[in-house]
Amino acid sequence: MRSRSLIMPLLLVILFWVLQILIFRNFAFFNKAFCYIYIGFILTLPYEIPHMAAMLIGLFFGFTIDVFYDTLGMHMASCVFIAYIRPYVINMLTPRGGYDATMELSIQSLGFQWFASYSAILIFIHHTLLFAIESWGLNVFFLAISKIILSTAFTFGVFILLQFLLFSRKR
Amino acid sequence: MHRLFHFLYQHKAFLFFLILETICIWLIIRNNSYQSASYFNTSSYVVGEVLRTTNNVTEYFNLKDVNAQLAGENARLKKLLTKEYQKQDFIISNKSEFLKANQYNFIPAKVVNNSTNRFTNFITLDKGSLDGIKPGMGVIGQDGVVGKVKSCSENFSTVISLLHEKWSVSAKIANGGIDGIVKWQGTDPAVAELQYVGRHHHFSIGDSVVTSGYNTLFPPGILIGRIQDFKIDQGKPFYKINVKLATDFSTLKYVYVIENYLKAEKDSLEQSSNYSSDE
Repeated sequence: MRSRSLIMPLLLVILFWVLQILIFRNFAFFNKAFCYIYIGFILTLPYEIPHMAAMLIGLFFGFTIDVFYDTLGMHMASCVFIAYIRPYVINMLTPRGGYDATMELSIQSLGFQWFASYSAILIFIHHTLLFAIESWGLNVFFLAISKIILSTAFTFGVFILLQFLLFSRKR
Repeated sequence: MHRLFHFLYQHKAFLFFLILETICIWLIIRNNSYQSASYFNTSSYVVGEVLRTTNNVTEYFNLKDVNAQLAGENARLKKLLTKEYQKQDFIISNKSEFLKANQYNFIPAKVVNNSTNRFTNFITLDKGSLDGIKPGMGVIGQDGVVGKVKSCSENFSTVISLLHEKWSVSAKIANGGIDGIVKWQGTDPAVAELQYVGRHHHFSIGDSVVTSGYNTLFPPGILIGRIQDFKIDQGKPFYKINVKLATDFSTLKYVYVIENYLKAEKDSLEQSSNYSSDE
């Protein structure tokens, strides 16, 4: 159990990173819908992880994405932000019975509805921040809005699909 | 004092968050500022190598198109060369004219990374300072203007694409020599806007827009695009002209970086006379 808890996140980092940089970086549907699947790694971080450590992970993970997008700082800022508000979103969505002590943030342990709303909220916040920073001072408000909505839907779909693919065989 | 520390300790996560976000914002501003030296981007060694490897895999899928593009360009250059040979009376009388005739050198480079659908687009090339590329050089493709080198490492360079809302290029309408500035508006990757053309000028749809040669980035007369449509609002001094860009940024594979041997001389002269050309 102990070794799994160390190796699993490492594999996840590599998986999300490779997916983002080598595959989804080249995709854009209708020139508007982008997939920033890499934030799935921050979303699936264990609940017990210290708050500040999560933010640092967000910072460094965002950095490795940023250098490939030539947008130094933008992904970092958005990642740190969702890493910061993640515990508050989790607390806000507390189910009736409360959380178990050794909880895993996955569809299996918390149900589809909880997981979908959790990831949709955080993905939307991340994308809003990202496109807002990117289009800063530019007169493209409606284009940015459509990009945010379409990209949120795209990333959300891929993320949920990935969850089913990766974690469904455990039971 | 004790209470202050207690307060800080209680809100340590929030303070930490603020510090990290400040770092990010500082990085964003520094990276956006005009031609700042920036080390962490696609021209750095590791990133460049990863991009080149990816490109090596994917380039086989569009070899056919690239072949057609290169063959087309070969034909065009051959035609130009023949024309040049036919000019029997091409006599260079003094050193200054010789320098001007050989003012520009073209360094071919391959595009290993490219984006067209963000608000700020960059291109990564597989040539760097070892091949003579320096920040500030102009970049053209086979069809027309592409962008300007932002930063380079030994083997890679990052180019600000024309599809970048902070960059613009000095231009003129070839038919009539009307000056203006071409700037991308952040929406359609095939269309940019030609600005500052006064309402007293006359031109028509389909006229070609070329580089003016006022700045040292590009030789004069390089095609930027063709006028797609234009309109003028009541009481506005300038036309609103949409230019269909000649370069198809989404299929860009090979480009040429322009080295201008007389750039330093022109720039220093203009600087010493306290005048700067627009870009």
